[in-house]
Parts: sequence; structure tokens; C-alpha cells
Amino acid sequence: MKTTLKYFRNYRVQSVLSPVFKLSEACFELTVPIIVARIIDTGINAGNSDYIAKHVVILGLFAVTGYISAILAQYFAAYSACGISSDIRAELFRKVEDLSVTDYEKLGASGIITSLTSDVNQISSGINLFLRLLLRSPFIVIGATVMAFTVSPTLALIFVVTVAALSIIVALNMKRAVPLYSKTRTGLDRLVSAAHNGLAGVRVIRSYNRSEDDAKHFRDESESLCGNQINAAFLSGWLNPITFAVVNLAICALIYSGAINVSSGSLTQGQVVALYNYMSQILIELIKLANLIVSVSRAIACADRVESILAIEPERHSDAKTLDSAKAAHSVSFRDVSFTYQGNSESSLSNISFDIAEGERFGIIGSTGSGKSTVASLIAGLYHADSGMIAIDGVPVDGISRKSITGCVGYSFQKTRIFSGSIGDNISLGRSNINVCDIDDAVRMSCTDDVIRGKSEGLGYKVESNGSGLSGGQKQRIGIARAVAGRPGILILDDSTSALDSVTEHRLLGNLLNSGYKPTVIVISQKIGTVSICDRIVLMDDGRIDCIGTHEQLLRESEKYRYLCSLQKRSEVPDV
Amino acid sequence: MSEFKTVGRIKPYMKNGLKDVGASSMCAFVYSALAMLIPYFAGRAIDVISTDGFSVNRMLAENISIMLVLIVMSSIAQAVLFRLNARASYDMVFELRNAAYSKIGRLPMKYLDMSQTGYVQSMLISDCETVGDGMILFLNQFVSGIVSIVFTLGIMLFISWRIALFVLIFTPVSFIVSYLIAQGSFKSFKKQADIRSRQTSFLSEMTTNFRECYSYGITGNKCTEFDELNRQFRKTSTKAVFLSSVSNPTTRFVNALIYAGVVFTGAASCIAGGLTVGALSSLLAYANQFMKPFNDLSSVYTELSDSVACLDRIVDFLDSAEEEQDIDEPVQEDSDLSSGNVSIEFRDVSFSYVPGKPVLKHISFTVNPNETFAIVGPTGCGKTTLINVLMRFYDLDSGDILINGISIRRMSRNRLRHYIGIVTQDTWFEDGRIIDNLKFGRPEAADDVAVAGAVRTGADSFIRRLPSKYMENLDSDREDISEGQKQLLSITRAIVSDPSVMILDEATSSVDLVTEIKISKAVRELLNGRTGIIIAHRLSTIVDCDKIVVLKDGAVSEIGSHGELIQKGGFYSKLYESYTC
Repeated sequence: MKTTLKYFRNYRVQSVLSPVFKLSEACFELTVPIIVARIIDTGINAGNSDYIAKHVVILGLFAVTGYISAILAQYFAAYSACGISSDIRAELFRKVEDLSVTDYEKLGASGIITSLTSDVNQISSGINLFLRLLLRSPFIVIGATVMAFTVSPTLALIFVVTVAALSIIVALNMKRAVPLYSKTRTGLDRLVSAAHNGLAGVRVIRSYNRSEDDAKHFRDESESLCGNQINAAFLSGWLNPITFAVVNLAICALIYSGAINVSSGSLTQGQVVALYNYMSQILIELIKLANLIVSVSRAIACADRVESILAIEPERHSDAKTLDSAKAAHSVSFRDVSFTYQGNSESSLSNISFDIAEGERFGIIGSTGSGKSTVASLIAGLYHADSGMIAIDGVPVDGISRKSITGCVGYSFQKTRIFSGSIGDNISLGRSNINVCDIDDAVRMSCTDDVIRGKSEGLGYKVESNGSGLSGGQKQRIGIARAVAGRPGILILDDSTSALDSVTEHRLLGNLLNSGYKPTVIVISQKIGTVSICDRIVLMDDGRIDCIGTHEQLLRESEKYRYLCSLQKRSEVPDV
Repeated sequence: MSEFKTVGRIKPYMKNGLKDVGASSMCAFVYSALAMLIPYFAGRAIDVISTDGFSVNRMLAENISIMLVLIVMSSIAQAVLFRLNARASYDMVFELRNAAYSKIGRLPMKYLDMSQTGYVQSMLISDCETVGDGMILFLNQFVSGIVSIVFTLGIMLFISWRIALFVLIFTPVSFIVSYLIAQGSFKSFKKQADIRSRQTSFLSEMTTNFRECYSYGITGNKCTEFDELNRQFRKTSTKAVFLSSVSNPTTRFVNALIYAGVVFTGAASCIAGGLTVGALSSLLAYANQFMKPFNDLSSVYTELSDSVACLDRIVDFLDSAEEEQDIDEPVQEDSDLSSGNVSIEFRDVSFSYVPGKPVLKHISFTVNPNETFAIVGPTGCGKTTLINVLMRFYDLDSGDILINGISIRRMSRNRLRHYIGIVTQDTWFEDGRIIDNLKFGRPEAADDVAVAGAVRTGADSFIRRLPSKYMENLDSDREDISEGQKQLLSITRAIVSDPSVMILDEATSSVDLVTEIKISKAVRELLNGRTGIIIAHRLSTIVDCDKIVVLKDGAVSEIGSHGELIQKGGFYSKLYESYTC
């Protein structure tokens, strides 16, 4: 909650003006019972019509000024609430974008989405209500109590006791309500996750006729959320009636004691009426406060969640070095590197060591799950090695700035993700250092020109993020174009040609190798044919290096490699 | 007012809710009626105070005791009414949400492929939430408000009809004002909901594609894009929130003027002797009490415009056109599909996603029972589209596909898909345990069957290395399970589902050669006695197939066995040659 408060700083003026104007409106309202009391005591009892008329006009004028104050207050409240929550949202987004991959995976996509949308919206409502009632309600309550003291100090004590009792009740209620609301927010996360997953898997779900079960799964999550929401609402639902009861009981006490005082002569009837009016005003405001507390409890639960994300330590970028981006190619070295994915018991990489020279074409081959992609992820800085050292151009990867690595390493993922937008956008990804020529070159090199030729809008062809309208091979080629467009010094192709037919793959690799662009290329593949074009190949097995060397060397020295080759030869029918 | 029509659409989702609402309305009635009598008796008590004397205390005590009873009963009534309203509202949202989610299962694939991901998500989550909040607000205030108004008016008329009339005439002014404000804020809230939906889409995409954004360092650009969306949202919501919050002060202003009027006319009556001071104070209290519900109701009405705007979107979605109804004709004995003797005939099949841009052109071929066909061709030539129409994800433009002579249009989609098992390039898993995922196509199967399937494909070895083994929770985005391993799981899932027809669409593209050979063995066993269609690039996979269909530009260019096509010397043999050269 505390971190959220600092966002008020930019809205100091508006956040102060809003309650102040509300306050002035409240002041005008507070004078009403006094004016009415005067009208009763002086005007009516003395039969003075002029006095009455004058004071009624005053009532009218106060109403007008009160209205203008109120409008201004509402405007500033809306401005502050929407502005503050907007700032929080922007900050939160930046924080998410700055997360390390590991932290991101820990948080989970649905938690992030709920926080950025729903939680921030609740905070906005909370701030809005808070500003509108912040000064007004407590002021009226305190003000009415003070006024009551001026009328009768003894009876005013009833006011004090009432307010104190209610404060305790409210505090207790909030203490139990906030955790319940947190629970509902977590439930909302799970619902977002269920919806997201269900929408992503529509094809598979329908293919296996599991649509009803999927809907039932969603229903179960939904039911759980509903139950939590009802529990939270039941708890909050007590506040209003209790407030109502307590204040009305105080009114009874007031009238009774007032009667006693009047019969003893220490109070007039008009004064009792005034006290009664003040208590009635307090009743209205306290009920509003009770409702405010409910909304604020919800907002606090949301603010806590947002803050826990904002509190995540950003990746350490102290004394980050940069690589020489003018270099055409970089060298890579692994020294005794080990790595285990979070939460896994077995390591994915164990004591890996090798060197890749500048401009070398390096192949990585191995069975499914042998750690090939993990090596690539570590070079690209997506994860950090648990032990050992990875260096690019002799500089440890951990010490290189993100900006430098992203400029120098182009990682073409096995599964290319599509962004909604045009094909051209998907290739450039909005990077400022990529111009139209770069895109055209990338398109030609990656054989994406075939894809574009088939579409009348060419590069402008629009796709949605679910990538429908593009086949697997087309997506892969766009992914390669994306990696190549930035002319990175290290190009990683992680099984990026698996969905391509052999002819296209051949052409693509040929384009890459024969162009003027000569980066260090790391080719990860299952196919001997693909890696055999490399200068050197490493054969990985179960997170370790089995053998490393040229194609011929491996044939001589590694039984596993020979076996793989024989398999390929046996089925050695080329791909179509 | 079309808003009322929209609100009426909630009814089907309020099965038990209507009972709750009925009960809560009664409680609201009790609460308002009793609560409103409190000032009356307070006024009587105050009047008693004006005279002195011993007997005063007894009358005073009577009035106060009545007040005490009223207070307790009305508080309880209010507590009950809040509980009932909360339950009715959240239950309604629950039903509405589920209806919307189930709707997804009935929408044509085309709709889902074309729409932004965030649209449906935003609607399911945020919009439903807003509708629920609005309903609670409305229920909590509406009935008690109406009852309050009616009773207070009655009491005021009883005390002084002239003044009551004065109040009655001017108070509806506040309601008209809030109606006008509500119309204005409705438009803003609709806009806000739209931007929120776009925001959700954007965020959904960013989080799903997080690794891409991270490794390409485009987070800065994304921030700029988001800032723009954020700015728009801020502008729209400031306007919407401000507009809707203006009605409360406005109605209070009208009330204050009326109050001043009551003071004036009431005081005049007191001087003229037609009214006691106690009655005046009661009247003033009632005037406030009368105007308060108008006040509350009118501000509720404007805040409801957000909920109605969201409900509009949900209703539009629920009204979207669904997939064509299934016709399910009874199948005769001799063409029983489960025996495994299934033939598939593509008869002059033509299809286009976008009218005028045909993807499949007059495709015709027949896969005989127990045959395995391979479909090859350059990427993007329509291979996956063929599967899309076979599975009836999309309906054909012209031509027909017949399974054992029965048109796929004449059997229900469920039945069609029951007999066809499919493994695609993209892997997806439900958020659940591995064992449940493996049994996804056949949930009633025993666990051993799933494990046996995993052993056949080789998935068993890596599953056993996971912390919880088969009980491990799987989700599609896990990074520590490689693409190849995911594909193994996907294939195992298909094998466990034991279909009559097996379709493999690039099912082994991510898998290494060793594993592929293992799987091929399992797949070959699987295809033995079943009809199969394989789409692949690796000739090792397809050269054993009974026939190969070469697709080019959406049309069948060649068809025959490997040997036949090589002999023919056409496109296929050229491809073969071009590799070996």
C-alpha cells in the first residue's frame, strides 16, 4: 500500500484540491442545522418572517456554492484517480518488461494480465472514492461532533463514544476483509489462466471432443471464485447494518438524555432538534464511510498485489559492458557450465565446455531433450548458468547489457511466435535500426519471399497473434527473417527449419552462407544433413557433450554419431 | 430505452437468483418501511420533550422503545437483504460467464481465428465483473429506495400535504437530470470497455510472446505502444468517471433547493399556527429522507451505465452466429466406422478462407481402408487446410468428403472427430497432470493404458525424470520440456485415444531422428489396421506409404506410390533428384 501512495506525488495539487472542495461543500452543509435552529428559535418562535426569509436565501446561496465546490471536487478526484492509476499501470508494464525470464515464469502470464488490467482498475475506483469521501465524511462526522459540543458538552459525549465504537468495528472488519479479497483476486488469476488456455487450445479440444469438459473446468474455477466473492461480500455486508443500528441507538440515547436535560432546564427543545439533526447527518456520512471502507479494502488487496510485482528486483545491470556491435561476428565460449531449470530435480546441462570461433558455423545435434536449446538460451542471456562461465568475445554474458546482447545475438526460436500486425512488422518488430532494405534482404535470405508472393498485400499482409493463416513453415521463415534482419554477430537457428521441406531448407542455408553477411552461426538440428554443412559439430547427450569436431572427425570418433548417420542413410531418402 | 432491453437479457441466468431477489425485495420493503418510521417516532419523542411533567417520561419511554424495536428489526432486514443480493448477483455473473465460455465451443473456427485474443478474455473477466458489481449496487439501492420514496411521501402527505406536494413536484427534476447524465456517460463507458479490451489483447500478446520480446530487446517499443493505449484509456475513463460522478452533486443541489423551500413554507406554516416545531423537524428529516433515495438512485443509475455498456458487449457475443447445426444420421451396420475399415474420399473438394482466394482447388482422391496416404508439397500449398476441412473446422465451399460413403456433413462433428485422431505441429496441453493429458482423447481409459502408450513412443523415459513423474502438472508454455518432448506427449495422446483414422500433420518435425524412428515404429504399428494420412517433409516417413499425393498450389499434381512416381518422372521425381544431385 505504501508504494502506491508515492504515485500521488505528481497529482499533489489535484489530490489536495479535491478533498478541499469536498470539505467546503461539507462546511456549507454543516451550517444548515444551525441556520434551521436559528430559524426555529428566533424566526418561528418570535414570528419574524423577514428573518426567516433572509436565512432561507442564505440556505439557497450556500447550496449553489456547495454545488460548484462539489463539481470541482469530483473533477479533481476523477483526474487524480485515473491519472494515478494510469501512472501505476505504465510503471507496472515497464517492470514486467524488465523482468528476467525466470521471474516472469514464476509470476505467470495470467497474474500479470490480471494485475495490469483488473487490479489497477480497482485501485482507480478506490482512489476516486477515497478522495471524494476522504475529508468530507470524517469532517462532517468530526465537525458535527464539535458542533454538538458547542450545543451541549455532556450530550456530545454520546457522539464521541459512537464514533469510537464504530471505528473499532470498521478496523476489525477491514482486517478480516482484506485477506478475503486477496483470495478473490487469486481466484480471478486462475480464471484468466483457464480462459487463456482454453482459447489457445480450441483446435485440440474440439479434435478430441472435449469442449464440454473444458467448459466444465472453467465452470469449476468460476464456481470457486464465485464462492470466495460471496464470502467476502457476506463479511462486508455486515458493516452497513451495524453502522445503521449503532448510530440510531445513539439517537435514542440522545433524545432520552436530551429529554432529561430539557426537563432540568439545561437545554432547549431547539437545541435537542439541532443535536438530532447533527446525529442524522453523521448517520448518513458513516454509512457512506462504511461503503467506502468496503471498496477501499478491495483496492488495498489489489494494491498489495501490484506492489509485490513492483518490488521484484530487476536484473542486475551494474557496470554492464557492451559488445562491439560493428564486428561482423563474435566468438562464444562455455567453461564448465551447468544449468538446471527452476523447480527441476535433474540438471539440463552438466559441465559443458567448448569454444566457438568468430564467424564459425557451429552445429549442435542431439536427441530430444539433450540440452541443445538450453545452450542457445544461455548464449542469448535468457537464463543464467548456475555454475561455470559463458563468454562472448571474452566478456562474461552476465556482465553484458541487455541492449548489447539483443543487438548482437539473433535467436530464431523453434516455435516462432507471431505478433498481431503485418508480416513486415513481425520481421522488424519495430526495431529502430532496421530499415526497409534490411527487411527486404532478410526476406530474400530466409526464403520468406515465397510466402509474400502468395499474398496480395505482400509484406503488409495482416496476421493475428494466434498465427492462423500461416502454416508452420511460413512462420518459421518469418522467424528466421526476424533474426537475420538485425544482422546480429551471432545467429542461432534453433531447429528453425524443421517445418521446411528439404529444398527450401537447402536454399535458405545456402542464402545465409553465401551472402555477404557472415556472422557466427549456431545451427541446432536433429538432421545430420543440416549440421553437416557446419565447420564443426557438437553431439550432445543428456546434458553433456558426447563429442565435438568436424563431420569427418565425429564419424571417426563417435559411435553415437555414426549410428545417427546410419539411421539417416538408411532412411536416407532425402526429404521432399 | 434500449438499455432496459439489454438488462432484460440477464433473466435466463438468474434461475435461483429470482427467488433471492424476491426475498431480498421483501427484506428491503421491511427495512425501508421500518427505517422510515424511526424519524417519525423521533419526532414524536421530541414533541413530548416540549412539555414538562412526570407523565412525559412514560410517553417518551414508549416512543423510544418503539424506536429500539424498529432499529433492531430494520438492521437485521438490511443485513439479510445485502446477503441475498450478493448471492443473487455473484450467482448471476457465474451463470453469465459460463454461458459466454460455453458459447466459445459453438462458435465457428473462423470467428475464433479472426478475433483478437483479448476480446473474449476481457469480456469473460472484466466485463462480467463490472456487470456483477452493477447488479449488487442496483439491488442494494433500488427496492429500498422505491419503498422509501413511497412511504416517506405518504407520511409527509399525512403531516402536511401542501409541503409534501411541493417536494413531490420538484424532486423528479433530479431524476431527469441523472437520466441525461447517464446517457452521456454510457457512451464513454462503452468506449472505455472497448479500449480495455484492446489493452487486454495487447497484454495477452506481450505476455505470451515474452521470450521473443526479451530476446529481441523490443521491450522499449512495446512500452511506447502501451503508453499510447494507456493514454487513451486514461482520457476516456477520466471523462466517463467524471460524468457519472456529476449526477450525485447535481441531485443534491436540487435537493438542497427543495429543502430550503420546505424550510420557508414550513416556517411560514409554523408562524401561522398550522404546524408544530416538532412536526416541522420531522418534515425536514423526512424531506431529507425522501430526497436521499432519489439521490442514491440517480447516482446508481449513472454508475450503472458502465455495467450496461459491458452487458451490451456480452450480449452481442452471446448473439454471435454459431456453427451450423449438426445433422446426425444413424449409421448402418455395414458401414460401422469403429471397425477400422474406414475409407476416406475427397470428392472435388474446393475451399477458400477468403472468398476469391481459393486454397484448395477440386481435390479428388480416395484413401482405401487400411491404407496410409502421404500428402506432400511445398509449404503453404494447402496441406493443413485439407485437414481443417476434413475435421470440419471449416466447411467446404464445394465438393464433399465421404467417410465410408457417408458425407461428413451428414454426421455430427462429435462423431466425426471421435473416429479421427490428429497430431498437429503445434502442441497444446490442458492445465493438468501429464496422465490426464495423455488420456485426453479417452478420459475413461485406465492409467496403465496411458503409461503403455508413453512407453511405446518413448515419452516414458523423460516423464519419469520429472519431479512428479506422471502426476507432474503440464502447461503448454513450460520451457524445461523441449518442443520434441512435447511432441512426443502429443503423439502419445493420439495413440492412447485409439482412433480409427490417424492423421499426422508434421507430427515429428521437432523430434530427433532416433526418437522419430522409435515413434515411426509405434506409428506403423498403430497404422496397421487403420487408415492413415501423413503430412510430412521427411521422405523416410512417407516412402513406405501406400500412396503419395503431391499437392501444388492447392491442386493435386501427382498421385501414386513412391516407385510409380519416380517412374513417372514428374514433379516428385524431380524433387528427389534435386536432392541427390
